[in-house]
Amino acid sequence: MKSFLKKIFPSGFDHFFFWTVVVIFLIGILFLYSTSLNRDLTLKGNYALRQLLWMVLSLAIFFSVLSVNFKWYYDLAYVLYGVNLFLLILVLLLGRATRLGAQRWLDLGPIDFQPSEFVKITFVLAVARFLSGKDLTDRLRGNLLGAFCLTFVPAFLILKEPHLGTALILFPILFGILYVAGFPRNFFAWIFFALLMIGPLGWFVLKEYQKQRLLVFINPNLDPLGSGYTVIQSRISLGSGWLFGKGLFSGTQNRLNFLPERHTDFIFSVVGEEWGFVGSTGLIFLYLLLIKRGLAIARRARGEFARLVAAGLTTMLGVHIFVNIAMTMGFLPVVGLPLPFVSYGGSWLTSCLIAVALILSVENERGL
Amino acid sequence: MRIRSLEKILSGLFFLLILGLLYLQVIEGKRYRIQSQENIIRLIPIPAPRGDISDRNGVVLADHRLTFDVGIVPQETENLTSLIEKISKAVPVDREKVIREYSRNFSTPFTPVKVLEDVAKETAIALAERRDLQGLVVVVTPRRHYPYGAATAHVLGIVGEISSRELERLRPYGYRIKDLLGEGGIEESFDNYLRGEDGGTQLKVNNRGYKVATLGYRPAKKGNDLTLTLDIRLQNFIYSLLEGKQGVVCVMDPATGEILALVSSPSFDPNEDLSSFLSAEGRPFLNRATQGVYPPGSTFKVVIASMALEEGNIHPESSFSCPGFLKIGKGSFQCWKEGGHGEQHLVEALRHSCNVFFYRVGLLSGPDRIAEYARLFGFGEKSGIELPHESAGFVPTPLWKRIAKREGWYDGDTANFAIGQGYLAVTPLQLLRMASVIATDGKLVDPHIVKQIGPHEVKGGRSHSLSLSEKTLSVVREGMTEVVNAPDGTGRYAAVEGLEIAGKTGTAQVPGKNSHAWFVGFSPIQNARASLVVLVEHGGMGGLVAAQIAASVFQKMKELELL
Repeated sequence: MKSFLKKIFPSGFDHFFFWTVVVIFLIGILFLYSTSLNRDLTLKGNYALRQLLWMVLSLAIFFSVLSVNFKWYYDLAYVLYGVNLFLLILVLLLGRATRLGAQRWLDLGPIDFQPSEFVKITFVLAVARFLSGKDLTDRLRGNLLGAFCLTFVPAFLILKEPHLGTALILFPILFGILYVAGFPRNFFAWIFFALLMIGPLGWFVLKEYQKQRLLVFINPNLDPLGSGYTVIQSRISLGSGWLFGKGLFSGTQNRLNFLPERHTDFIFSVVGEEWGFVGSTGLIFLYLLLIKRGLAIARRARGEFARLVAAGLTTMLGVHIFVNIAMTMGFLPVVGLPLPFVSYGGSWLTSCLIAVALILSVENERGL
Repeated sequence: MRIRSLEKILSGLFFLLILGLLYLQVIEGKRYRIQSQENIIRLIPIPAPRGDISDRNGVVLADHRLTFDVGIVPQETENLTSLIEKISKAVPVDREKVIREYSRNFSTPFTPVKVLEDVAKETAIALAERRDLQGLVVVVTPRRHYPYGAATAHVLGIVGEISSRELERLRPYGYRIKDLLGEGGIEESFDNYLRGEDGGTQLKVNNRGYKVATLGYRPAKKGNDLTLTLDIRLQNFIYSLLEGKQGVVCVMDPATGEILALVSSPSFDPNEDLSSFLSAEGRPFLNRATQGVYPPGSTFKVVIASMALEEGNIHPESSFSCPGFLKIGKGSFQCWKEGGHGEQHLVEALRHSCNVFFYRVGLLSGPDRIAEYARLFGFGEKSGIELPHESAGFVPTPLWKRIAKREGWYDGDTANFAIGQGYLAVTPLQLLRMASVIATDGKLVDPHIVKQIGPHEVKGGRSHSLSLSEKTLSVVREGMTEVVNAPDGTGRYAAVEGLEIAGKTGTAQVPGKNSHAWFVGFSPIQNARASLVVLVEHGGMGGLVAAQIAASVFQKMKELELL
């Protein structure tokens, strides 16, 4: 592997970044195992085992992404973006209804494929490509419009699935890229102000269950056995972990099934319950290291495209981490965003690893 | 550079997360830990069996009968509707009723939901043996059982589910919803001793409330057994004696205050559905011995006689003439015997129960003095027997009459007072205490009915001397002896061959109705071992029906070697 890495990484491979991801992933496996303990521990019920299988597949993709010359991503940015949009449309056309009443998957035999997870990466590539090499001071408005259009189209398609959380998460990522690209600071102040104004109008666009989620977010006790149940149980899980937790595999909220969706969106609550404040802040510190390292790579990047890709993808990971954890604490509405490297889900794991591969590739890149 | 500030923004957001976790997991951690435990732990109480109650000879008066209830364990039931269908066909019982009971009694998935109560043993066994009834259980439930039924109902009381009002009052003492609570009688006043300590199972449950594991178990502790002073043989005999009558018989050991029998009639059978007694004639739930208040009639002359002698108003030899009436003010107060009893002294007056004699004695002392002696003999206050809701009766005074009735006290009131009529109201138990004073050389004893709690003797039957002179006591006792033993004594029907009996009859007039018949007495005359009171409501002359019942009771006691 060393020689392999040397070959494709003449200017070095950021081992620290990579191994932090591995540690976080392994912690995730531990807790996925914990959430599977009261299920049958066969391949069908064991999330840890299934996630490991996903990891094998994802690593293959990871190394493929690494082995491709970074230049190609600049060239193929729009193509990948376009293919991804096509897949999103395909989901809308063919996507099967899930038990939650949403169409998010493409059924590929044994594998469910979720294009909306990959669009988080391809749209970053497209926006970075679009903005790189442009003189922002010259045609500010045109550039802005272009970047927003590149974001709006996939956001709209995802909203149609419907998956509000994923659709909305594209915008903070976009702002991250625009910020790094050097858009004037007062522009962001205007955006913030405008959102504050338009935001309430969004209420009328929301579907009934989305409104319900928001209302319940404001007061979980509104419907303690219905929509509020998850938030209440999640807070109990986290809080009851106290300082040192109930011990790995010993969380009662987890083991006795009180916490719904605990292997996907609410896995952080299980970490909090079983490892306590010490464990949950420990995991946040690992994520913080990851983000800092990712941005350091972005800083060192020599080309504009590379810099924007690294910063954009790191922002993508950071925003997911923040929203997911804030959601488990009940500080943000339940929007269904997974935790990078930890939440169960094949498409999500793969797209996270692609993001990592791309960030690592930036290190290798010169001159773009 | 922009990336640096982006790093700061993201780090700031992460810092907010840590602050949030600090709040949830450290500051509020304890609260959430408790909540998570409440999520998974359920307490299932195991009711403690109530203590048994037995009579002085160890005969059981209250225990438990095993009954069979049919229950459904929701957690183990696969198809509820078909199970209910099968049950209702097998018993048979209305399907709707089973469904109603099921939804009413459902508490948790692992506790049997009672759908049928007290089914026949054969049905229960047949159901339990069927294999196609998954989820069905036959629960053996002990139910309170009173082998002597109505005969002991007033003494023992009943048990029932605690009412919400009682629960509010008793919650601080550890009572919970659906607890059994004694109502009336010993069951009520000794509930605290009888009820025992509930045990419980601590269960771990999952999010659906299903049992996952048993965490702890504490067995229920049976309540204390009680031993009463009653003799059920006598009690039962007296109950049959009073059948069809409204009245009271109460027998006590005057020296110790132990109640040997306490019967109030009509009664109710606590083993049956009580609602049928609610509308019954004669208020069967009233314990007439302790709760009924009546004018004592001539039995009260025992108090007047003692008072007059003690206060020196008369000597034993002092005599008054009875012409059959006495003019007081504008009225004429009759003696019960037309033509009067002629010249007689105290003992004769007691023997004949002469009203005129006692009118005059009463007038000599005045109403305040009479009231004072009435209270001395225990009237106007509760006897303190361990039965709940006892009446205190009432002793009138001129002051009371002026305040309450805004009327003056007339000599006529005094005359009525002196023969136990008018405003004076007493319970049969109070009259029993009065008779026992004469039987025991002037001691007023506190009656009691609980002999032992578990193995521990209950100290009861305290008495205090009324400081009556020996002379007074012997004269009154002589009078009461002649009542029963003289050929013309009013209580001669109470005499039993081979027994020394003293007593006093009473015929308490009730406006517009037949008089209440009273008899109080004791035996033997010296060192009495039993005193008794008999009341037959609207029974006419005390010398007839009441005295006859007294004789039967004394006779029975002799047979039982209680005398």
